[in-house]
This record gives sequence, C-alpha cells and structure tokens, in this order.
Amino acid sequence: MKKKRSPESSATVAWYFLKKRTLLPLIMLLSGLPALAQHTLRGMVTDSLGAPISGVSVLLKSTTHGTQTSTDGHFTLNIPQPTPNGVLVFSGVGYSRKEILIGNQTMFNVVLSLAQTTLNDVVVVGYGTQRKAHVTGAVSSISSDELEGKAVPNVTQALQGVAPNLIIQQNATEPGAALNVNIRGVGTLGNSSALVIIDGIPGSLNNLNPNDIDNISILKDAASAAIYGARAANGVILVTTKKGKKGSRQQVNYNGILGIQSPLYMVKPVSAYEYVVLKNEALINSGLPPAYTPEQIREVYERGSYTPWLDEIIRKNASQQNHNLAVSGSSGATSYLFSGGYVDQRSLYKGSDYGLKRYNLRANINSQIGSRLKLGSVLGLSRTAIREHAYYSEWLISTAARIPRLYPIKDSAGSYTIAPTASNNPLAQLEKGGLREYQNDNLNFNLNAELALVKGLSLKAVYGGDLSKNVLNEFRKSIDYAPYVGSDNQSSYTDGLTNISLTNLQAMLNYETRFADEHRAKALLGYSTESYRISNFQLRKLNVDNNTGLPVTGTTIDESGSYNRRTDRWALNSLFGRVNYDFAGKYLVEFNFRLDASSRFAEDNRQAFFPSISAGWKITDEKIFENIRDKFGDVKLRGSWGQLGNQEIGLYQYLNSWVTNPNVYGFNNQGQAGSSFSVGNRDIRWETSTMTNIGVDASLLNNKLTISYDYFVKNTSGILLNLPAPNLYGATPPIQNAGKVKNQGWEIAISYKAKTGDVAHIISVNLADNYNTVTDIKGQTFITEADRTFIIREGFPINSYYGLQSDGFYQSYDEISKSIIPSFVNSVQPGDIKYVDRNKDGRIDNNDRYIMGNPFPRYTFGFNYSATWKGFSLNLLVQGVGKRALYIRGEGVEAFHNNWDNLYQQHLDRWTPTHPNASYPRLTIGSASTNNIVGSDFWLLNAAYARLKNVQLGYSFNNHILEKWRIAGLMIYITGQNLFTITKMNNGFDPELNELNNSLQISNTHANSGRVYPNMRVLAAGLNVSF
Amino acid sequence: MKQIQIFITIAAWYAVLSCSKLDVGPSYQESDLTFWNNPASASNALNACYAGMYPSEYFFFNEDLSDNAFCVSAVNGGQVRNIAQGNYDGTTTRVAGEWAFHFGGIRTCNNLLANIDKVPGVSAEQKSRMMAEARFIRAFHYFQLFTWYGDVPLITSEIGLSESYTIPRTPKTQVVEFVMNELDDIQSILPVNTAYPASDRGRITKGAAIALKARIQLYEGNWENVIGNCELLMNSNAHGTYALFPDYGGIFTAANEYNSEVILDLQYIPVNRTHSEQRFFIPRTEGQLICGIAPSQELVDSYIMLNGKAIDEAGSGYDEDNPYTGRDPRLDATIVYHGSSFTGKNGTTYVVNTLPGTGDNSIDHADATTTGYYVRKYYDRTADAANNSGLNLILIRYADVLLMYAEAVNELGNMNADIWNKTIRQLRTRAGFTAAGALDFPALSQASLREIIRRERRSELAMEGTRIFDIRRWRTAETVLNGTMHGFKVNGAYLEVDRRVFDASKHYLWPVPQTEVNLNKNIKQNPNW
Repeated sequence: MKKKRSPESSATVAWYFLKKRTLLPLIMLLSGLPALAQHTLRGMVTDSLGAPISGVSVLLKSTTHGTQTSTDGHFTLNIPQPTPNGVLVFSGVGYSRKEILIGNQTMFNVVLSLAQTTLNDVVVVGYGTQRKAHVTGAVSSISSDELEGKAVPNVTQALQGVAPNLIIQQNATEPGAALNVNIRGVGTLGNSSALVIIDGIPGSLNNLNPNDIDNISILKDAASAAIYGARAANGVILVTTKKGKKGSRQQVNYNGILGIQSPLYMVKPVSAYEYVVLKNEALINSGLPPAYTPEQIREVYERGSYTPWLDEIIRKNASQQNHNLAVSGSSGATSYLFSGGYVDQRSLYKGSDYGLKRYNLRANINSQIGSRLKLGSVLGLSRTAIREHAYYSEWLISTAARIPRLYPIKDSAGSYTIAPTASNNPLAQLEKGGLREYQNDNLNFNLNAELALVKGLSLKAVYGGDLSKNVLNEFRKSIDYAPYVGSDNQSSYTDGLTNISLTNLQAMLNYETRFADEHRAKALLGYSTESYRISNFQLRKLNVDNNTGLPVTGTTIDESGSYNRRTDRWALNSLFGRVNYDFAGKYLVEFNFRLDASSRFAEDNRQAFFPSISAGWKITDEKIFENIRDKFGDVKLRGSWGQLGNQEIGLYQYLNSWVTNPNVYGFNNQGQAGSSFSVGNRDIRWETSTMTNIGVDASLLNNKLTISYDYFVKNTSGILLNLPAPNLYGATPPIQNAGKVKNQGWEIAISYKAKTGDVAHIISVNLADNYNTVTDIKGQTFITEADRTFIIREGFPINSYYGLQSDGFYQSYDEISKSIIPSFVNSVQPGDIKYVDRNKDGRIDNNDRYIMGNPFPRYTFGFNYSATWKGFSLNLLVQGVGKRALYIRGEGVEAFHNNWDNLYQQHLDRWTPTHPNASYPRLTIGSASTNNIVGSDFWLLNAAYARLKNVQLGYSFNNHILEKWRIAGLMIYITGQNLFTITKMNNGFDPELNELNNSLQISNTHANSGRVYPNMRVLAAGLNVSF
Repeated sequence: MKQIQIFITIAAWYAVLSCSKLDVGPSYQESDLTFWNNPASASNALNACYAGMYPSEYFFFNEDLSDNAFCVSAVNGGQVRNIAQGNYDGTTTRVAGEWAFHFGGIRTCNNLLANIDKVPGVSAEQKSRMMAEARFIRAFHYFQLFTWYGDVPLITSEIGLSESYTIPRTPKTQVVEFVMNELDDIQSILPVNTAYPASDRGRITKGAAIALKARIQLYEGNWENVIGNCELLMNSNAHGTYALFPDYGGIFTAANEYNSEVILDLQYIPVNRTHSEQRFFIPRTEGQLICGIAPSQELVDSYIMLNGKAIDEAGSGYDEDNPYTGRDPRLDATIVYHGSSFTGKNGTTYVVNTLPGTGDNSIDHADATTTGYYVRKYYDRTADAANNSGLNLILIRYADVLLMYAEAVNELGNMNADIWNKTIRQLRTRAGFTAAGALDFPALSQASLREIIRRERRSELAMEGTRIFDIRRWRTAETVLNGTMHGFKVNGAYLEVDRRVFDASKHYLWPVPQTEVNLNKNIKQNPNW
C-alpha cells in the first residue's frame, strides 16, 4: 500500500505540479513572473496533536504568492526575493488563520488550532461542500453549538430561532407530535415542507439525535437548491452528522440533561359560584328561563369550587432526560464515530406513565484505502417508542376544559363522575381507558466510495436509504362508569404496521482544476435514482376482552378500521450537475441544474428541467477598495436566479381511480360491495418556482462583525391545487396546475463578537420577513366557510381570514333602532357585537365580509447572546414573531360554546349595562349567540410574541483539576426552555399555536379552538464530560 | 486495489443505468382504464348509487326541522336547530351539505349510466334494469333537491370541471317534468316486488317508482295524478303486492324488515352497514349521548283519543293530569313519555321517568331529553353497544299511499264513506282503534276532513322524516314553526324548550349553498336570501 502512495493520486493540481513536474511551470503559473526563483520557504503545518494538515493555504500577505500543503502537511513556497518583513498567512478549512512574520526563517513549523467556529469556512451544499467565501447562493449554516445544551427532545425544536426565515411552528406539543418547518414561508397552496437530506440521503429530522449533528445547511434560494430539482421549491435542509476526525486521538464524550417539564398556558375556568350566576345571566339574556334557583346558587357558593378538570388531568410536572455517549477518533487511515443516545420525555398527562422514549445509535466510519480510494459509511438507527392514552388529545383537553367547576372529577366514593354536559370523563380515559403505543424504527444509512481517477477527477458512488418500520398498537378499554352512565363502552384492539423504504443510488463525477493560478473551476455531474415504497395494514377488532384485549364471543372486526396490505410507490430518476468558476476568489459564478423524471405524472409530463445561475463579487478584493478592506473587512455581493420544483401532491393524481369496498350497501341483509371513483387529471405537471435572490455578506472589523443580508422574490406558477368546484360538479374536483403565488421577503443575520476584560461576548441577531400573495387563481375566489372563514383571493395571502368588520357593541335599544340588524339573526340586544355595512347596501350579511388578516407570521426573529468569562458561559436565546394574527374559535373564545357549558376568566369582562366598555359581548347561550359568534375581526387576536426560548448557564472546569482525573473536559450547566413570554394574548392560549399544517390544511379541532396539549417550560441541568 | 476501482466504476455505471420504474400504481385501487372491463363493476357501481341515495342522518333529523321534535345541540344533524330557529343561511351545514350530497349521488348515477355499456358479461336485460334502478335513484335525488331549493341545475350526464362553474339553475317545473318522465319510463322496466328473488329484497321496484310519482305529485298538489298513481297500487297486484302490516309498532323492528307494507326502504345490515342516530332519541340510559331528537308536546297533543276526538274537542275525555291514557295507541308505539315502560338492549324492562329528580332519564340531566319525551319508533334493540343499528329505514310505505289517496280525494271534494273506509278506517283499525267514533266516516265539511286527514298523517308517520315536507307544502309552516315549542308539564306549566322563527317570505325555499353562489356566477340565489 505504502508504495502505491504516489504523487499521481493526489487530486490537488498544485500538489501534482509541485511533486511530479519541475517547479518551473508552477512558479510561472503562480506568480506570472519569469522563472527566476530567488527564495524558497519550506515547512510543515500540523494540528495541536501533531498530525499533519493538508490543503492549508500558505500565502505571502498582500501578494499573490501562495501554495498549499501536501497530504503530509509539507509546503514549499517560492518568492521572488527574501522579505524579512513579509508575513505568511496560513489558513485551512476548519482551522484558525495564523500569520507569521518571516524574519530570517526559511523553515516554518506551524501549529494551527481548530477554529472556534468551524463552519465559518466551509459550507455543506447540495452534493458537496463549498468554501463559505465562495458561496453565491443563500445558505444559512448552523453549527452543532447552536443545537447543544437545549432541553428539547428533538432537532426541530432545537432549530427554532437560530436561522432567519427558518420558521418553526407548532400545532401540538404532546411528546412525539410533529412541528411545522417552513423555509422562507409559504410559496405554494400545497405542501410546503422542506426537503430534508441527511448525509446525502433523504430522511427525517424527527428520528435524529440532536447530539449527532455536526452542522446543518439551510438552502434557501434557487441557486443553492436547484440541484435538488423537483423537490426543492420549499427549500432544503442538509444535515451532516458528526464524523471522526482523521488523525485525531480517541475521545469519549458523554453529555446528559435532566429536566423537569411543567405546563404553560392553560385556560382558567371561573369559580363555581361565578359560573351559576353567569349561566343564569346568559339564559335570561337569551330569553330562556334561569337554570339555578337562589337556593341552589347559595348552596354552590357555600360549597365552593372543585379543581378545574384540566388541572386534574395535567400533571404539575414531568421529567425529561437526554443522555448521549459518543466515541470518536481515528486509527491509521480510518476515522470513526460511534454514538448512542437516549431521550426520555414523560407526558404531562396523568395516567399510565405516558411519554416518549427515543434510542439512537450511530456508526459513521470513513477509511482511506490506498491513495486513491475513500470508503465511508453512515449508519443511523433510531427507535422511537411513544406510549399514550388510547383517545384523542383534542377531545381529552376539550372535555376537561369544558366542565365547569361545579363538578368534581371523582366523587367522594372515588368513582369517576360524568358531568351533565359530558358523556365521559377524561381522567377515566387516561387512567382506565387503555393505551396506544407506537414503536417507530428507522435506519438512515449510506455507503459511499470515492475514487480519484486522474488528476482533479474523481468518481463517487453512493448507495443509501431510509427504512422505517412503524408499529401501532392500541387497546382501548371499555370504561365502567357505574354508578354513572357514560359512553366509552366499547372496547377495541387495533394493530397496525407500516413499512417504508426509500432507496437511493447516486453516482457523481467531480472535476476540479486550477489554471493560470487565478482561475479555479469545479464541475459536478451526477445521476440519482430514488424509489419509495410504503405499505401498511391495520386490523381493528371491536368488543374484545376488556382485560386481555383478546377476542371473545361477540368480537367483531371493524371493517372501516381494518384493511389488508396497501402499497404505494413513487420513484424519481434524476440527472444533475454544477459548474463553479472563480477568478482569484473575486469573481464567482456557479451554474446548477437538475433534470427529474417523476412517477407522479403521466408519461408525457414526466420530465422537467430546473436550472439556476448565481454570481458573486468580492468587491473589497478590487484594487480600488483595498483601503476599505484593510480598514473594515471583506464585502461580497451575490445574486442568483433559478427554478425549483414541487411535486408533493398525492400519488397517482393523474389517474381516475376506483376503490371498491365491501358492505357499502346490502340487499336482503347481505352486504354488497360498491365502487366509488375519484376523478384524475392527466395533464398535471410540477409546480415551478422561479426565484431571484440578491445578497450581501460582510465580514468586518477583523471578523468581529459579520452581516449577511438577502432579499428574495419567488414566483411559483402552475400550483397544483384542487380548485374548489361548485358542489353540483358532484365529485371532488381533480387537481390542476392552476395557481400562481408570489412570495417575497428578506432576511438579515448579524453577529458581533466583543471582549470586555476577560469576558468574551457574542451577540447574534436574525430577523426575517416573508409575505405571500396569490397572484393568479383564474379570477376565482375560494372561501372555506366556517365560523372562522378562510378565503383565497388574488392579491391577498393564501388562506386569509375573512369576516365581518366589528364596530364595538350595541349600547342601547335606541342605538339598535337606528342600526341595521344583520340579516342572519332575527334580532339583536344591547351588548351584542355591532357590524359594519361595508358594501353600504343597507344590509349586513355575508357580502359585507372583508379580508381581515392572515395566519402567516411576519418579522420572525431570533436573538442570541452568549458570554464566557473564565470557566463560565452564558447563552440565551430570545425567539419570536413580530406580527401575526390568530383566529381562535369555538370554546377557545366563546362562552357556553355549543351548549358545552364553561366560562373562563376572560368572560368575566363581559358587557353589561353598567359595564359598557367590556372585552366580551353580553353573555348568551345557544342560538342567541348567533350574532356574536359570526366570523368577524372581533375574534382576531394579535399573536405577536417574544419568548425567552432558551437560557444556558454553564461552568467548564479548568485543566489542572481535570488532569488529575484524566478528564479532557468537564462542563456542568443549567438550562431552561420557554422561560418567559411577552404577548398580548391573555386567554390562556400559547401565541405559538398554529392552526395550519405544512400543507396549509386547517386542523379545526386543534389549535384554533385551543384544544391542544399545553406547551411546557423545561428546567434542566446538564453535564458534559469528555475523556 | 485495482479490483476495488473496477468495482466502484461498475457500481457507478450500474447506478446510472438502473433507473427506477416510473409507471407505478397503487396496489389496492383500479384505474378507470381497467375498471369497466370487469363484469362485477356494473353491480359494484350500481351499489354505490344505492349507498348514496339518502343518509340516515337526514331521515331522523328531519323531524327536528318540523314541529315534531327539538334538537338541543347546535351541531348535530347539520345544525338543524338553527334552521328550525330561522337562524341559517347558505353556509349552514345541512343546507350546504344536502345540495352537495344529492349532486354527488347524481354524478355517481350519471357515471354508471355513461359507462355500463362497456361492461362485458352482463345481459342487455340486466343492464336495462340496472340502469332503471340508477335512474330511479337519480330521480329521487332531484325530488329532494327541488323540494328544498326550488330551481336546481338539471344535470343528466357527467359534466366537466369548467362546465360546473357556469351551469345555471333549471326552472323547477322542467326538473319535475324530467323526473316524472323518467319515472314513467322506468316504471315499465322495473320488476314488481314479488318478481325479485329473495336475495334482491331491497331493490327498487315498479311499485316504488309509482309511489314516488304519487308523492312528487302530492307535493306539487296535482291531485288527480296522485289518485291515479295510488290506485295503481291499491286496486290490483299488477304493480306490486302491498298491504298494511297488522302490528303498527312492529313495522319498524328488525324482526319485520321487508314486511308487506314496505314500498321503498334504505338497506342497513347489522354490523356491516349501520346507522347510529338512535343514540340521539332513545332514553338517556340507552342512548348515552346528548338527546338530539326530543319529541315536542305539540306532537304528543296531536294524537287523538281512542274515541276519535282530538284532545281539545268537547267530550274528548282528555285529562291533562293523566295525559297519556285513552290516547291513540300509535302515541305509545312512537313516543316514550314519563312513566312509559321500556325494554333496554339487554332485555330488562323498566319504567322511564323524565320528571326532574326521577332518575337517570330525567330532564335535569343536561344530555337528557329537553322536552320530557324520547322516541320509541325505530328503536332497534338489536343494535350494538354503541347503538349502531342495521334496521332498514322505510322511505315510502303502503300506509302513506292510503294517506296520499285520502288527502287527494278530499282536496278534490270527493271524500266519502267508501274512500274513508279504504283509507283512514283501515289505518285506525290497524292501529288498534275500536270505537265507532274513531272508525266511522265523520261526514264533515271538506275543511274539517282536511284537518282530520292531516292529523292522521302526522300521527301515522311521526318520526319518519316527512312532517317537515308536509307542513311546507300545506303552507302551514309559518304558523306551526313560529313561536314557542313546548315540552311536557312540569310544576304546573309546560316547558318552553325553543323559540322558532319561520319567515314565509323566504323560508319556503332553502337558500342555495353559499359556495355555489360564490363559485358559479350563473347560479342565482333564492328570493330574499
């Protein structure tokens, strides 16, 4: 092997010239001067452990004389004449830059230390890496430091607030619930989920151990994302996991966090006494007889209030812990990282020890075989085990929130009570109603080989995939409510299994060349074929044995909840490529393309081409700006244009399809099968987003201050949507390429490092905005009618809120007699909400509605401050949204919603003749509430907030103490999540609530009626130790 | 080394050459290219038409729209409570949903009619019968549509997406004419009920087509036509064999499905195809959910005494403190009142008490009846624990034919003892009346007889989902659906359970759903909406 380590195998052109050929042509190329070498400097560059570092650039400052270190760390630099006052600048990817005065030396043994911010120099991009200085697209990179030390169970939560326009919102926080991730907002009416790539292979953030992540790149614009073609329109998240470092010694690292979660934001019901009095008030206001006699009211008053049911089903606290152990290092030509992670997040629900456990194992191995071949493998294995109640959270929460404090959750004999407005008891459901368990196993793997062919040319092959097996097991028990009468009297047992496999084979040719010293070019050509298959089956049995779940006499199969194996597939074949060119690092150009062929479309419409082009100009490298550079720093301008695709629609939508089900009807009491159809559209194609981005990167004041700014416009056309058809069409209308949406916005990230005395500070701020406008939907208007109505109309954001304009309350009968009575009610009373006749037609009806807002967050921000002093470190993150409207409906805002009978603290501020300036209309019940609960801006809340998302305070022990214990590093810290929030919302709901999922679908029973598991605060202590 | 290099190179080439197959379809679905080639598809597609004919929810919750019952919940039954209270518009769930439901059903039928010729292995005769069944179902959808909304788009083939944004409403008279022509046409194709083998019980029959014609003409007030169609069914067995079933209460039980009185019914099967509405109307101890269909005092009061007199008539013998004795036996067969005996699903018989403080079914439980009454008719003891029932729901029965006939004859001023004896007397005898005062022809004025026939119709068909259509066609809705609805007497006063509003200037037609008006400029809204 050793013999084979010949110079030919090096991929670096410079190295090739240096070793194989004479030095002359190289020098001619490098210096552009006649071949008269007058002075030679030599040396070796190593890291702090003595291992040689290759590829370090060595440059004589303020000249163009430079070279790079070879694989054994050596360099030779020829300069025209001895320059004792000259300064050599050593810079290597991942290492701190070092400057050395030449003096009389000709031999230099230089030790470079690892850079504090490793990623400042290199950025992971699609199918490769790029020096940060050479990036011409809009890419945010996030390092592992920004994810560590947070008491959160998953990567997504750790990402909140760390990068501009990486918008993370929640519509549920129960252990295991997924979060919404959007990059630069929403540019389509369909699925706006970003593509997640883990070490080159599509995967999911949910399965990752946050501690395994080395860095994350967020590809935001077309230039950086076009290489992912048909799936890149919503941006791409590239995750790179940690690897062992070549030449490093073995290191064992343990870190653990132990914390306590406690619920935040729960609605606060009024006291029992207030409830009975106000119920009477509401009934009388509604023209109905009062429900409680004075004696009964007195009795309630004397008895006092029972604990709110919500407080009865939610624990005051629950534990959470993360542990992670990693071993990394290298042995010979092989480097490795093995890690194991464990997360245990207990649920806040009372009951049978509910919660989530996740186990992660990772083995990342890279090996250099000979001089030309590199082999690598990435294996990430995870198991997520979720144990939860057998019901639906929204119903548990809503029932608990809806029961007035007149009733105990358990009676004096210890039986679960049934309140008159309910048919079940959520505590009984939690404690006696059975269990649902999920066990999700996932393997994200990739095997890769890279072969150096000839100079500058290498071939890489990757085979990888993402395999999941998800097991569902639900045993819902029948609950005996005796002596009460309640529902929940049918037991059931459900088994489900889902197998998902995604396999991906890639082949790539990389070519890198440098000529005439200042011209550098790189090219990539790749091919990828991806194939996805999901198959699942489910069996649900009803009336099983209530103790064992086994079938007994009377057990039946629930046909609607049972099905044999169903398999769905899609596939994607792609050709992609990239060319980079730069001139002296000053002028940068990049071209990307991808050609995709997707199974989601009919044969004639299957292929699409996605190009992008971008350019950068390091303006401060120009001679005329040299002064500025020396005084202030580097400034780079960049711009890009490109096209991206979105193919995320249901499968086979181009086909008319038929589904046959048994027992749709019957004759003579015998079931009959029936076939129903859905209408397809053969003409559908991709959605295409055309995106323009301009940006500036500045690195000023000796890198103390960095600023990055981007402005973008993204026009998405051919949006695949089910344009609502009139119902007389008689079927769900097929999907069509019909819409256009424009999305524009900007983002800015500023980071400043300072030192005051012994204290080192880093302040970083990111702020972003994006704003979408529907520009074309064929002139139509689509309204999703409900008490909270959404509208899609040209010129306005997607799914804007649509409703009447309110104008305070009617204060008197006199005022009513002079006002227009809305046509949807028979009469109004003082204390009812008054509406504006916006179209001035003398009627108040649906035609007076206007676009009163939209649910999209604007001015999303993150503010991060960290300080270190001696061994102490402080890190805090404030995250928030500067502007957002939120429409909460149902019992979330309305007293006595739908005869469910509860009132909350905010309803005490109701309108009465003596309290005309109230925040809530007069109390009513049933149909008398019709006027007030009509969709209007009265109910639109300001959901802007700023939240102290994370604080960490740590202490790192110094080396002498540790050396005794043979410990390389030890840090202890305390950390907290969601510590403090500033918001105008005061109704017991979290302003972070989001009612839309990533497909902009509205979950009516969740966030927008407040039926969600409470968000939580976490206080934790952590330990980080390495050997 | 060399070998590895070769291997990598080959692997890379393999990657490039091994494209994934892109023509991939689902494992559990057919596309329409293959679907019609299967002989089973004709019946599978027809069964889907049947399945989409009429929902059980409408069948039961229609009573809440009328003066027969009250729904306490704002959401159940598609917001029927709000409709009954006059607080509704084209976005109200039932109003918007019913339009969509019927047009969905119409497309399903049109799809079958357009494609059935492609299906191999089905005889021409069979195809013609199957098409007739689908055409009946389509006619039934239009009947529902024009009854609620007036003018509706007449769509008789599968329309394209763009057409759906422009198609206008067709005048109601033309839609009625289309439906009547269709029914005339298929009447000659469909077999009579006795001609079907037992395994086809539940299919559309010749008799059903005739009975539906009678009902449509009844709603339109074309009395001669009503008489003509009813006579086809009453005077011979040539168009089907029908007779009153001897036990009134038994008509609506699982044991007596397909009895002699059934002309058209919706098919349900225990376990496999069930409806679950009975939980909304049976006693709380059995229903275990909010009581969403609570019979009104007004309905209870409308039942006559055994002597044939209305309770407010002189000499009726009605005792307000003992209100349920001496009444039309159909009251007891239809309604559960305070003191009624009731047999639960587990077979135990108990007394249902609804006065406050008298047990688990009393009105002081928030999810109990609000009126003091529950419903017995259509209570299926064989339903499962969650009250899912496989009991068929009868849309038209022979008793209705007799009632339609009596009403039409009287409207023409021709009621006499002979007609009375063929119709009202038969129904009352079957119900269990024996007194001459109840059975004999009363020989009153046309107007008085009209009141008797209408009352008879209400009592006979109560809780069968038709009352709302009767009061609307009689134009009495503005009277009976305005003002207070009552529950039973508690502490000396009748409960006031609901206040209703019916505005005759607009409520005789439902508004066209808001989405239709929003999306299709040619769809005009009904007057005053």
